[in-house]
Amino acid sequence: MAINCSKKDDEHVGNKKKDEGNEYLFELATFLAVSASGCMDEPPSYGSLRLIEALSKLIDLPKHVSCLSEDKFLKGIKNDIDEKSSLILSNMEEFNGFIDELVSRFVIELKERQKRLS
Amino acid sequence: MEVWDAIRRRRSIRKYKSQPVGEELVQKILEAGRWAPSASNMQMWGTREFVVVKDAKIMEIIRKVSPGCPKTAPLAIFACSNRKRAYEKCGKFARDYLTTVDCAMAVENMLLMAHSLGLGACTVKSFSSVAVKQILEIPENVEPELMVTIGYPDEKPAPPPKIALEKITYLDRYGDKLFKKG
Ligand SMILES: Cc1cc2nc3c(=O)[nH]c(=O)nc-3n(C[C@H](O)[C@H](O)[C@H](O)COP(=O)(O)O)c2cc1C
Repeated sequence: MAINCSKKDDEHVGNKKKDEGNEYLFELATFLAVSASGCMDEPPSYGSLRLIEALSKLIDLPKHVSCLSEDKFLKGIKNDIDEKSSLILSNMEEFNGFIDELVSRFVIELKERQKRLS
Repeated sequence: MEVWDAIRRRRSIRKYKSQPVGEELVQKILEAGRWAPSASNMQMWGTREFVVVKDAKIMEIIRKVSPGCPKTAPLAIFACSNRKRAYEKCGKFARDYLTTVDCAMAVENMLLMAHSLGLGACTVKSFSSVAVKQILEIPENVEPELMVTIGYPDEKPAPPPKIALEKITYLDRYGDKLFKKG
């Protein structure tokens, strides 16, 4: 279901915030496009790196789009991504372990959210 | 600074202060690149070129099309190979391989010079060549091989793991260890 931001925007937020949100979205889109191109030549593991970097950027979206709110779980994920993504350069095993751990944290969170909703 | 010290203590720096880098320092770094070796000394034909990006707005766009570019880099130098000139002067192998190696030689010199001047630098290959060429108006036959981001360091990274010399060096015959245990 699509969320309509426009009403809230009209009431509470000026065009400046809207522009900022659009700019941020554009920046993220650019990152994805150039990463798609880079992944053709770079080591396969860089695909994972770019995806989690994009995830980190995506989690920042509420900072730029007023009708979204910060998500505590995602914020924790983002902090860990920003801290641990450089493992790809020093310890590939730990990097892989980190990605697996991210997935399992998502699974736990998915279940919790499902419980809360039902 | 001793050469060994520079080699040993240089690190890829990915966090920079906003302080701009003075023109004379940039020039020294470029000179270090210019003095790097090149195959058949073909640099004298202009096969290796440098594009310095200082303009903050251009730098911001470069950053956006370069997933591997440190976020706060105030300045970048692109080491470019002029493949057309390399082909005309030295042939196919020079165009397809040697010019790239020559750029790498220049980049290492620039990294060491930046480090010896108290600056931090990072080699970056994770950029969109198509986008960079378009932004910097680099002609078709010139290839931006490597970017070097430069600025005053805002981090002190620990040395990354480096493989032991014993594991990668041989004597006279591949596989015969140069360093024997015991
Ligand atoms: C050809 C080449 C390409 C590189 N590309 C990138 C890059 O796109 N982004 C980045 O942050 N570092 C890049 N690096 C830096 C390496 O990750 C770094 O040299 C390596 O992890 C070792 O760390 P050190 O330079 O501190 O010894 C590159 C290095 C080389 C030699």
